[in-house]
Amino acid sequence: MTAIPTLRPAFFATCLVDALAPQVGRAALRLLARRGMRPQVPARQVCCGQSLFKAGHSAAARRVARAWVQAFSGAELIVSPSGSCVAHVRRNLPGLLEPWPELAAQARELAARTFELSQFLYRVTGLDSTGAAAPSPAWTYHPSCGLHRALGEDEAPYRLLDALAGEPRRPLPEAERCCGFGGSFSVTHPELSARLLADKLAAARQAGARTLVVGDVGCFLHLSCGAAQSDPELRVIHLAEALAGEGA
Amino acid sequence: MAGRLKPVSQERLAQALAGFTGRLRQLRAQGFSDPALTASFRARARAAKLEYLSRPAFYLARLAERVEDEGGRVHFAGDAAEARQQVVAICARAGVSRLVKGKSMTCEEIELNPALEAVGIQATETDLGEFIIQLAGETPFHILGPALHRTRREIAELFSRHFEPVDPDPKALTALARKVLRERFLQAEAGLTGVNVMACDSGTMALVTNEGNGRFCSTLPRVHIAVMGLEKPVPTLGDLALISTLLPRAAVGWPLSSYVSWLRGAAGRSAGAGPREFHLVIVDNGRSRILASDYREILLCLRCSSCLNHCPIYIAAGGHQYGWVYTGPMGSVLTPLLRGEEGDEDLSQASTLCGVCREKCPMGIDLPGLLLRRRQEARPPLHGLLPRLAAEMLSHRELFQGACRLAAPLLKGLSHLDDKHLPPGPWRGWRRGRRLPPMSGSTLLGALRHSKDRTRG
Repeated sequence: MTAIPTLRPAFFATCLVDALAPQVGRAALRLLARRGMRPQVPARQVCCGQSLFKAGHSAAARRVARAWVQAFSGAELIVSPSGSCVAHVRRNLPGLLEPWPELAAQARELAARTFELSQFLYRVTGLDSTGAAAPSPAWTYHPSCGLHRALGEDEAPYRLLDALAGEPRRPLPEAERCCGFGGSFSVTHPELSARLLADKLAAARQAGARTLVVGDVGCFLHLSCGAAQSDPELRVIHLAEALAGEGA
Repeated sequence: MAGRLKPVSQERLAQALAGFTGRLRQLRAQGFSDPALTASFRARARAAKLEYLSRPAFYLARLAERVEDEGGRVHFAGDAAEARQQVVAICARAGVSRLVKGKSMTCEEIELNPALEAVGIQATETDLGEFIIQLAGETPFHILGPALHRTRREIAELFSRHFEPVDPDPKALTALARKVLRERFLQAEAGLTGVNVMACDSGTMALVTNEGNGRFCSTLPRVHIAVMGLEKPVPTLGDLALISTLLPRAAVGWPLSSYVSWLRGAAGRSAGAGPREFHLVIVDNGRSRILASDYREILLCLRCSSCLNHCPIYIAAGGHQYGWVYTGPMGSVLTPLLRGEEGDEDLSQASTLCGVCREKCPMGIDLPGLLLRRRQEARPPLHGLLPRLAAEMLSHRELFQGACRLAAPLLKGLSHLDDKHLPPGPWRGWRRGRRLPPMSGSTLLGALRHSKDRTRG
């Protein structure tokens, strides 16, 4: 691997990884370090406000957006393991911060420099392979709507996953179907949410997978909590862990 | 808090939904296999509709002029009641006592059939699915499959009760429906249809159907009444041709449906084929209000059902729980705008905002964006204490870490309780099919800082 020693990207962990899935953050940081970078972790960061925004609480989301921009102020590049959070930063933060023109201008600059992890590795640093081994023995990938649709990144994760050594990725039936998380939806419509979750786990079983790799953080937590309940044989890991070769 | 939509409970219905929408998803993929062509269709169709919607008064005046030039009559209805009155009055003037109907979502919306029955006019739905749900007294379960939720056994019982004993065999059922409908077609003094798209430059309307019943309704009886939502016209015949192919591509994957009729005016007193009278009823019923609002993009909707067929919520819940004639993502946007009954607002929550509806919409309508807008408008700024508290917690590192420390033992405690003893809260919903996530209480950032301090020693 070519080292790119000059890059010191700021790492945006996201609130969910920070509080509930630190292993995903560690895997992402390891990936960046292995690529010869020295990721920084801005100490004031918490959340981008995506979930409040999508639940319709614009004013609350504006408050959080402001703190996010202040926490990442001055960063040259920002990398995050969540495509939906990156999509929120890119698409919605500048608009939300319009009441404060200076913050809005900063948000626009930061938005253009914020990347999802696989996207950053593949598109910005030109990485074709992380050199890691595939999670064994039989694995598949759920692309996640936030990464796949909201961010529109439908190439980078596939390229890097398909470069993993060992067992090839198994196709997941109806792969692009939502897993039913949807933030507030998972508690306002628990029965529907659980049905969609069960369908996704069934699709993974149908693919013959023992490991389900998930592209985004919310879906990763949703599916891993679901598998813990109804399918403990199925291991659910996040894209960052798969690319770092964890669980191989 | 809890939404009204739930997964359908009957296994048979769940399978019917999965099968029907699955076939339509496959077909749609065939209809739009070329991404460049899809993008070009979408751009041109949007431009045509947006042009019309930018000057509707101008275009409608032109349309009315052309229709009347061709011997037709144009009626404007401000709301559903006025539209019903106008249709009833047209029937009364023309001495219509029996009427055949093609499928029309707009007629479902204005609840036309009960109004016709009330004045003694027999109105018969002639689309097979609509025919079935009319007998059953129901609203459509799906735009293309109105009676999708009915088994052939139930349909046989329904037919036997209304007509003559019949076996629950699809061929026998179709043959009986055909026999009944043929008679009605021949007896009817008027045919009533919807309008899929209409060209303002020539007064031509298009009907896109698969059973041919729309063509019967619009050509056989001596009076043809077309009921059209205000949003349906496009400026030119070329635009009409474009939408005539875009609609069946999006709905069933074909460049054209089995029957595409382009109709213009009335045959008048001449010996030519076609109805002697043609009436176009243009229905506003809230559409002007939508046009003047931030939701105007929903007026681009062609009612193709593509968003229903791809929406994971619709596929799991089916049509009836949306509570009205419009269902799926477009229904969740339209129902509160057009009807606005209490509880309709909840429909904006019935979405994961996964975005598949926008991706598959032939007109590229930003349905998730419109649903999100409704969510935002349903709540005043900083509504309630919880979002405000959450915002503070998610804006301050110390508060966040403190909250994580407090939440960890709470979450652990809750996860050890069985469902019966679980106190009310969001965890109740979450625990359906999901464990609560394990939480250590120390955050990733806290742990990183700690290990850094240690190495520095």
